[in-house]
Amino acid sequence: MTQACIVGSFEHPLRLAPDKSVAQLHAECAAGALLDAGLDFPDVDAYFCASDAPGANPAIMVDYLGLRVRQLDGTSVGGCSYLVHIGHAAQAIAAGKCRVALITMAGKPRSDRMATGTSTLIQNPVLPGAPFESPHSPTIIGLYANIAMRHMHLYGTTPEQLAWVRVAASEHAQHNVYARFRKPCTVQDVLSSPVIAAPLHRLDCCAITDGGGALVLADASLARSLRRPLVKVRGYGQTVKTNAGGYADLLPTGASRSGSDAYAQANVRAKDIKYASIYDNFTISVILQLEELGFCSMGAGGRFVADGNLISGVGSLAVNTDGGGLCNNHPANRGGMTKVLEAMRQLRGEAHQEVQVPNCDLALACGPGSVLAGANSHATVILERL
Amino acid sequence: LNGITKLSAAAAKDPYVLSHPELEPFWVAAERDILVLPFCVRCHIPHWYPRSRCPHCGFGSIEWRQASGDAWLYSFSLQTFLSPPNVLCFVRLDEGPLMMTSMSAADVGELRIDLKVKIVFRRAEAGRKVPYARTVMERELAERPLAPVNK
Repeated sequence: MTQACIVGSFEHPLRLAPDKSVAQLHAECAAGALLDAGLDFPDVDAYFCASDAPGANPAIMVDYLGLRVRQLDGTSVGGCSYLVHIGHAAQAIAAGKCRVALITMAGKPRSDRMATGTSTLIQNPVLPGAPFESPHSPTIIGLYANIAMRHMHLYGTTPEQLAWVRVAASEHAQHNVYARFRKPCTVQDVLSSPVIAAPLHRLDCCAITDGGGALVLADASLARSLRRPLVKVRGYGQTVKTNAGGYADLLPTGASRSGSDAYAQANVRAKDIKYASIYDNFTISVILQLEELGFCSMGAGGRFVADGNLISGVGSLAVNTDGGGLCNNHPANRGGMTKVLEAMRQLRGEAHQEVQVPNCDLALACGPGSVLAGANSHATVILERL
Repeated sequence: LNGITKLSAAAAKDPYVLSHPELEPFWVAAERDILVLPFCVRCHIPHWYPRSRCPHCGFGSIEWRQASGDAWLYSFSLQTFLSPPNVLCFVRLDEGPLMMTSMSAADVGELRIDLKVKIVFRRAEAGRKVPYARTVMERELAERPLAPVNK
């Protein structure tokens, strides 16, 4: 079976882009990833995007870019959409349905002054849960605060432990010239930032940024002809964590299921992973996913992240060495793309020298899509440098 | 449902009611401040949020049964930034399912996970009456029989 490799990756350098259209940002990301791969637009024969693309339909950007595609995918399942796209693109390449797959994402929530986390979630009456939920004004941060509260209640997780996730991200972000927030912060800085929805403080929340990113996948024989390090898609998994009709626990993100599928396909375990990009829309999200992915036992996530354990060169597992969504970038309110982009830098040895994991040949990137505590998707990919 | 047969004029115009015609018995009961739950006719397990068929076994027929209105606080958070602020919370109904709901911000000081709460109804702006949670008075607590937390 033909193996798929990621041959191009690109993160838009801007974090505020009021003078560019969303279509232009998608196009600039596409051009950047193709240049990185040593390919050009006529080489692309498959296009993948989610609902952040104008029109929420891949046909619009395919037309804008003048592509000639024979495979397309508009799967839109929230922030992890691009991780799902990698799985779908790898399948299409393996099936011989395409050779060069382009995935783009971009958006401008910062220019649009979106209050992403504190706005009442849009509750279209047609959504089946909306009649019962809309009057309670659920917000993204309100839901994650419920999750954090429950985790603290069950496992004794503390606000200080949550804060360590932010501290690690900020330690990494100081080395990223493009990062939205570059100043290192302390646990005390997080705890003295305003409480938005207890137990979550402002610094437990990710950035709101304009920008985007893109990836190019190709079959292995084409990938070998390009002058870039060879990064193989070794495993992937995707799932939906449902409410199980009211009987699901609030805490699981779906990472245990998407992760176990990815581990099984890759034939690796958590202890084999040299670097992990874990979607960090809120500090609590990282703790939940580290537990589910087997980097620590269930309930031990708070203790695992404490005392700098996620800081590259300091702790046992380097996580989000670009600064993550918390400090670097969270374009279009979605973290799945940037998670893969930093994993690619680590695998190619192109991360900043202060955060580069030595001999990083196996990396994991994962994240949920949509808001936890409702039906949410989750996807995990495992990438290997050959 | 004991003579409750009609939606109020306000509820009958609510787009959230109109979008889900099969759930009308729920809103009719809500007019009388009664919580009903959809129970599967085959596996007999109730679910939340209410839907037309059982999410546990897939059976296509449910029946509405009156619930106790008793629940336990599962998690909560004060949404300080809303105007007015509220407490977004999840409660475990005595019948089993977990329900997203909210409580008055005035109650937040006495809230702790596993606290007993009661389901009450308030009319939403759109017209229908919707289940909320409230804390339980000490007197009610003394009178109330013990109930299982989980199904």
